[in-house]
Amino acid sequence: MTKKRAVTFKPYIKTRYAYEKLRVCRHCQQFTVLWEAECSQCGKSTLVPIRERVTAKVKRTMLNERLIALFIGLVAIYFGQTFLQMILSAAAAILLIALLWFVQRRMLPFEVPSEMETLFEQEQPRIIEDIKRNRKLAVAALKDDELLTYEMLREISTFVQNDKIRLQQVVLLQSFVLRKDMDLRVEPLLIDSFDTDLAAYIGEVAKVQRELIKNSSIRYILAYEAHILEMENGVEILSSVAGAAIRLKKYVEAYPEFIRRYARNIPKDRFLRLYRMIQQHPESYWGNLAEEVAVIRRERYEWDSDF
Amino acid sequence: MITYVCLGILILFVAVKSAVYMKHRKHTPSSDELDLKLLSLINQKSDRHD
Repeated sequence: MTKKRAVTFKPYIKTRYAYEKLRVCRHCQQFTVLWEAECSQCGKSTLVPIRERVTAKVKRTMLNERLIALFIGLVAIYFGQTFLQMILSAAAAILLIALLWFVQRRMLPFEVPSEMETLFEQEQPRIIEDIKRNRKLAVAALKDDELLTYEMLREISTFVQNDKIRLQQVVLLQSFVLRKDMDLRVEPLLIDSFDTDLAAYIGEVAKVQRELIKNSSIRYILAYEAHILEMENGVEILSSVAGAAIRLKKYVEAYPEFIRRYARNIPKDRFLRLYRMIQQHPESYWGNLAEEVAVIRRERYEWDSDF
Repeated sequence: MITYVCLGILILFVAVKSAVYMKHRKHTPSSDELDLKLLSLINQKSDRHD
């Protein structure tokens, strides 16, 4: 078994929208989803968020329109046959340009998203190619720095959402010592099929950060319970997930049989929590769990003052 | 004469541009729609080439 390394992750900056992480180089137009300060293509420090780039483009277009209007206005003034005509032309031109400027200012917040949508559609092949380039960079770093590879894949997975990249992250996570203070994830890493590394990872997370074990991860474990039992430490994985599920009453109510099957293997503090939960809510439906908990309590904790 | 033609062109130019901006406003995607669009564009193709 490979020895696990103690590492500290670079903080993962969570944005409300994935596109906020997409940046483009103002010089060579290369896209990137990584955090590098310099463009990997041209080496310049000209990477800007996509929204900033599009806003600049829209503002430039609007300025060009005002300049065209100004040019037409100046031509009108130049060809004025009388002084009065020239003054009236100037006034009309100023009014019209001011109107155009006013409309552009009001419409800027609507033009930018429209332009972004157009850019995404037009640059789709380029964006995909550049994300693949990011991914190749991540894989190239694997030999020397597994942590860096994981961090890069974590960023890329914000955009590329398939089982392959999820499993790559899980395999890397299994080479690290997991701790309570780490920024770990479970739900974004769940895949459609069974994987021993993923099951083992969920089992470990259930021990160090049980709040990350939620409905979808419990359902994953349940769906592949038979496969997990064939693993060397399968019972341990299932027991730690059952112990983590006791965190919330709704999970105990939703999966009483699952918890019943592994109630004998969970630590005392988790069993105590389960016992108290059942005592405090006798009206809830616990299936056979309540009986099993009563039996375990009699067998192991009859003289324990905590119960 | 040229003055009036130019002023007419200017009025048309401003009117058309304003109309185009108003039309764009009706079909502006929200941030959620933009996000979904980008992710679907990336994942529909990248899955095939992965």
